[in-house]
Amino acid sequence: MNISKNIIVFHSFKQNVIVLFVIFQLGFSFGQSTSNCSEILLNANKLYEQGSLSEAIELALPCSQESAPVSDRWKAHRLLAMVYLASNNNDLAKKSAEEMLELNPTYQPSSLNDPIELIKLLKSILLIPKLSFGLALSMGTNSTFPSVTKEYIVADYNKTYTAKNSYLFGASVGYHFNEKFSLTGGLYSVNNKYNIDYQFNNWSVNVSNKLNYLNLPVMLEYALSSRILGQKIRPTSGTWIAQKKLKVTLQAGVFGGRLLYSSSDFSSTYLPDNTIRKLSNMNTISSRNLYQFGLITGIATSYEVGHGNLFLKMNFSKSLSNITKQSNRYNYTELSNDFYYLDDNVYLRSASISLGYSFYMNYQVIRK
Amino acid sequence: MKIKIKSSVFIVLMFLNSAVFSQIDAKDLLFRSNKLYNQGKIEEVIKLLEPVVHGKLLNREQTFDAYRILALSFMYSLNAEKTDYFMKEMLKLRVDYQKYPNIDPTEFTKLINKYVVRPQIYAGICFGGSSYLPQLMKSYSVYTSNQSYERTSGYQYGGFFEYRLKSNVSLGTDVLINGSAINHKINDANGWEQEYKEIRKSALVTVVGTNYRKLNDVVNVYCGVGLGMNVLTSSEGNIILASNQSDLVLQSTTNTISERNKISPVGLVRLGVDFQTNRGKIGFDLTYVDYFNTTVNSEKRYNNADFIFTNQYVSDDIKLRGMMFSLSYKVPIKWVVK
Repeated sequence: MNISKNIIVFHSFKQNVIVLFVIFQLGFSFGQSTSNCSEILLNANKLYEQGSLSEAIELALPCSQESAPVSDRWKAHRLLAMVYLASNNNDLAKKSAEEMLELNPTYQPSSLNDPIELIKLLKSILLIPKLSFGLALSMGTNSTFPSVTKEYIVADYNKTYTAKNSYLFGASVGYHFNEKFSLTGGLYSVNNKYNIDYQFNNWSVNVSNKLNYLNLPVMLEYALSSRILGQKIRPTSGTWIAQKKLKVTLQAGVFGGRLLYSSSDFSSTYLPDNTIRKLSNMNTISSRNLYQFGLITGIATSYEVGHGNLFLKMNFSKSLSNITKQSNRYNYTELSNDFYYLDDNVYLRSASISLGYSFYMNYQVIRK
Repeated sequence: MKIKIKSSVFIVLMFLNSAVFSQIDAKDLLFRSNKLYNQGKIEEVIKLLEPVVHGKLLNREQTFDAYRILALSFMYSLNAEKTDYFMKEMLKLRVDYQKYPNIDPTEFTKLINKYVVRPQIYAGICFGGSSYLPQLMKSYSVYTSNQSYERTSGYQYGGFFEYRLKSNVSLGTDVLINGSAINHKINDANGWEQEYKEIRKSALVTVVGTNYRKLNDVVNVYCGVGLGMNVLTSSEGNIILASNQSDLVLQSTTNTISERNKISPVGLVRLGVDFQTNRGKIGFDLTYVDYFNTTVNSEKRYNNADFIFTNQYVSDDIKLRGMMFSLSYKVPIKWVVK
């Protein structure tokens, strides 16, 4: 108990020292060196607890300047937010709270150390991710719809193109300009598959095509407001969580792609006796244009989970590049002789549904 | 039946009640402890909080607050051992406390700033492109005309773990899925231009030692050396024969995995830069990779006789070497407080 008594004596001694210290501080300019901010803020906090609000503000303000160490600036802004709240200066309190979250966006308020008004204020500030890093996967839901602009045939037949499902996966980086607009770029491995069927002179031919592109989409995203969706979702505990946990986003942009590999399976059946001739897994990269460019659009829905979000995206892309290298169309005599096949002018369109998770790497405070 | 439903509802209500009351108890306990601490009744604070701090009464945030009050109380009661223990516990729960502290007594701030808090284990993901230029060790070509191996591009993606032995030294392991290619051109193969392309897919597992140098609070540069094992999972060869006299082009494709060395030891050297974000680090790195053995299994070089005789092409002994460029993102999953 002697120790307790000593501490009480020590505390009352300290209070006297603080008053003298404040008088000393007010007599001079506010150009305090940052090294003693820790002590100054401790004293300012005591003044705040005693109700000397304007003195506490004057003491704490210099420690909130850019030149002060981050830990001191953090303490100063937190204290200033509390003091301004206590003095009913809500605008300045909000400004200080915004500064707090600029410094430490992942701060979890303490019900013990933070006044309830400060917790409410922190929760009212909109915080959105600035940079995000996402991973997306689509298994069996990436469908390729070939669009034929000119057909090339070596006999009298009509080719039938059939869309096939395949996969895509990749990573993306997003930059959020504000609550509504963001820009995303990514790198995706996209597998496109489609079939071609045709019949002539008792022969039935099936060509199965696979093309794998490394695509780089760049899209502008627009987040629909909760009002449009007819819902209002309360923020969860903690301050860093965005105001709306569920978001729907519209996307539009362009993409470029590099063909990594292209292969085709040829199978022709002589119908009278079902004789089958096959050429499997033929590398067709030299008959393809290596690069493609196009337009991409989509809609995404995301749900905040932890420091990131789970998302479901539906994208539609339309390539503006012919996949066939026209100069090499007639080079493959083996194919035209054995399968009566020539490459058409084909533009790929794809529809995909992908699922993924996006990590928030940092945050920004939306000041209103 | 009705009785059963009633008793179930009663049990659920009892459970909810007890959960709500335990939260009220926890809050009340912390407020009482804080009040006692402010009154200087340190012994009472310790008696009240220490027995319950490791129990299930307090949630994570409340536990942090309890550790802080106990650390402060033990510091003023001159119990260095317990002060050290509770300071470490509070730093484990809030690893950025030194950067974003409460307004603490100066002696407490000085003490807590003496601890080193740093990430011990990182987990990350990466993806990127690669560029390989094979090195010809021994030619088995049936032609003596000009021939060359072209530079090819590829890709890789995967994940990694990194264990920090010190704040600036780490030992990490990468598991990458690799796509690469070999492109061999023979200008004059008896009146034909011959081009052989091989598409390879593999899994690359590496162990890399890395040294970091801090440039400022945000940017680190690093260099590393490592060893790894490349496991070939698929390999497809395609040969295109273009006649020098006519437009005739012939081509054929074959699965070459049975003639390839499936496991290849590799050495690598890495240079990179990373940027600290609020959560984790973004890194850009460049890795030089050198395969220690040849791509072809010499005992099985001539196994695919049909392909060899039809196309007059025999695979040479080549070693792969190249650069991988990767973009990575990693987050600390375990911290150390010393």
